[in-house]
Amino acid sequence: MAVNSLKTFSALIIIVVFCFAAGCSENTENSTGLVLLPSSIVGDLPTQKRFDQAFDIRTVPGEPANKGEQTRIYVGNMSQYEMRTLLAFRVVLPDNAEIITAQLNLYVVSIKGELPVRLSVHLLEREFVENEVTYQIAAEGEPWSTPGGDYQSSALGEAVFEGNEIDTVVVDLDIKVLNSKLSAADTTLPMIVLTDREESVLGLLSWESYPDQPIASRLDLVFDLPPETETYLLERRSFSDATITNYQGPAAKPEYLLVGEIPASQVFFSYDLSGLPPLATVNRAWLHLSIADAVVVDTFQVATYAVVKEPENISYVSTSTDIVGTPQSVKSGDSALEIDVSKALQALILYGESGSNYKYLVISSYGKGNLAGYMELYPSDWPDSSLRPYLQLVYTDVPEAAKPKK
Amino acid sequence: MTDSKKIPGRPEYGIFKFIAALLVAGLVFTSGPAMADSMIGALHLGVPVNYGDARSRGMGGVSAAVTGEDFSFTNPARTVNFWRSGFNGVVSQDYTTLKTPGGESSIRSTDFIAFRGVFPTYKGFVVSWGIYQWRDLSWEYSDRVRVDILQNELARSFTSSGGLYVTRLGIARTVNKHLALGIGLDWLIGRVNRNRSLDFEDTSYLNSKEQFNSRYAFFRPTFGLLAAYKKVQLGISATLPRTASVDYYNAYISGYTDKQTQALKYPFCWRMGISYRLTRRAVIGADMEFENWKDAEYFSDPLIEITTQKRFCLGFELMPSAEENPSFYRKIPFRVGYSFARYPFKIDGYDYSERLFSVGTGRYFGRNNGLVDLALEFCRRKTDAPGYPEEGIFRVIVSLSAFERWIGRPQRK
Repeated sequence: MAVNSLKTFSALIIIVVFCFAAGCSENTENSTGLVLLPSSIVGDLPTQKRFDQAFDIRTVPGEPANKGEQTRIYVGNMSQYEMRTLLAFRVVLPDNAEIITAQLNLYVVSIKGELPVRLSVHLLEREFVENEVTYQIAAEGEPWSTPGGDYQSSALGEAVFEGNEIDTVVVDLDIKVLNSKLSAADTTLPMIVLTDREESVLGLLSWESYPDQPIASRLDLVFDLPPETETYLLERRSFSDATITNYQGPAAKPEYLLVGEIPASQVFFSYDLSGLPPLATVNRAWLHLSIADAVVVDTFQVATYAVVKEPENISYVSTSTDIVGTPQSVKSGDSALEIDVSKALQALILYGESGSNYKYLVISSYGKGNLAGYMELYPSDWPDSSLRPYLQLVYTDVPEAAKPKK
Repeated sequence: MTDSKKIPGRPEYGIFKFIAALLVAGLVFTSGPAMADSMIGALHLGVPVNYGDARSRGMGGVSAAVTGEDFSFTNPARTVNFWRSGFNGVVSQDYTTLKTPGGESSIRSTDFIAFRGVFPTYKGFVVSWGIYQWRDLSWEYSDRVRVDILQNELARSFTSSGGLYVTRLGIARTVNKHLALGIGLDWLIGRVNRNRSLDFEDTSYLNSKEQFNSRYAFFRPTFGLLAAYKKVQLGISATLPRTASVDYYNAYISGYTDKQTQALKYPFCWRMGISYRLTRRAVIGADMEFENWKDAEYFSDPLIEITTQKRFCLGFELMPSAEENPSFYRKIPFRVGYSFARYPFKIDGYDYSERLFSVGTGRYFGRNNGLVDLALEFCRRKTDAPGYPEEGIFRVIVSLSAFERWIGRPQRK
């Protein structure tokens, strides 16, 4: 009896398993019946909107940013820009050490312009702070006596470079000057590298390229310790390096909007977003800009910030502020730029009740990537309307059921 | 007892078989995708679930006043019919076809419906604990639409997963030979996770995605009464209304999140059932159930008008023969039933209704310490409002029960 019951039960289980297994070949996509979904769940389809006029568009100038933390350092001249490389080595020699030879190795990773290039290395008369130094100041509150660096007029060494893009420049340094400098109990050798060649720029490897590895400009010192006859080699990598840049071109033209690294300048755009749903999802937003002129040194990348401020409180957005979205590159000769401002606009929409109607898209030079350069943009009152900037977006309102309950 | 020889189907292994069978069923049920249950659930607080066990489901949902071992939750007083402890689990599988003038689609869904334990104790009290699904909030929809501003079609999908469950701690007692009373403390818990997504083929666009979830939790009592007179039994149960908070959580792909709490009034529900013993083996019964959602102020949408949910059930059961060595077909019960339900909303003034025909059977096993019941339902959901789809469902419901091993073969009276 029990065995029969067990068989019956087993048969039932098999039938059930079969029934469920048969259902595995289902079609799981339900392509009918939308009518059964309440409109509060279905919501609206994407909408496109174009803003030709802005509340406010303005150029906001700033101070040139420090370029001590970039992965390359530059020396040369290009398009009204003069670039100088600053290096600093930490050297401690025995008291009676006498330097026999000294060489500075610079690692070239990019060349723009004509070769050969003559490089001259000078000893700086004062130290600099890597993440503060600019063409105007050696450190915060410590301006150079002469903008561009206080250095000895006579060169510590010179070399002519006419090699390849990935190459090393070896500069023999004046050992008398070095012996004199180091015998004065100085342990830091700050240097500046200059070039006189027009329209030519060398990009050099900086220590930030490989911060975990000893890869940076290298100083080789061979010295002896009299009366010993042996010689010693001291290798030092630069612990601090930066580029300082000077703009020698004409002043910005007031008829254009200016986005620049040097001269430092940002453009603030404010649009009337009150017509958009308060929590709309920005599927895509792009700002169309027509470029009147652009100067690109190495690269010129454009970044976007989202700022909510009253017009009277607007100020230049620091490069330490996080950008919104991904920087976009501008090339020499570009006549138009379509900047993806989706994330920035989304951020502005979500700022919601911020107490201010002025929500700004800020178009800026990407300070962490640009050494110099600028672009001039046609303003919104330019006679040719096809060159005026405009904002276009595709957005979707969230379904009613997903909105906050009132 | 000195004989240690193992006997097939030995009673003390009944509970292990029960758990093993549930695990097997669970594995089978979850081996495939558990997708949309019913699109109709999107129009209200889900689709109402019949929370009877497979015996009741075979009888069209009749259970409030039937006798014997039935684990349905419809009437807290009805557990006084148990004279031995037992556990029961119910699962179901739906094969749903949605028909519209524009086409047809098929979906399969899996549901856990209920689990319950009933324990007769001292002085005639019967304690029970269990959990059952009250409303099913799972559905899914997807399509592609063309939008003027886009070059490619836009893919839309709408999904909802979750359900409302009630855990009931119940106690019942026979007052006299004609009357039994019961009360259940119902803890309603539930969640629903809903999503809408709009996917652009052009990857330079950010897809829209909104998640809007809600959580439910509150207590309310259910009172039950079971009366018997000669061949007639009458069962009544009532669940009190309750206003309780619902937690809402919204999150959008844009980064916006929002948490809120709002009150929701759950309606007064009552159910009444009657059964009549036609012969020694044959029983006929009927149930009716009302949920007064009209007063609940739930779900405001111009598409629908909220109304009272009603369900009417009619069922018949032919018990197994008590004779010695009956033929096979007389060893198992035969059940048949019909139910009609009106969902708690109207579209354009028309009801959305559910008509259901069911058949069922069952079998004791393991020296009568185990019981498997099977019900097959043929269900149709439709409205007379023009243009709205019709849903056909074939449903397989299985319940497994395990009882105390020292009690003799029970008879369903």
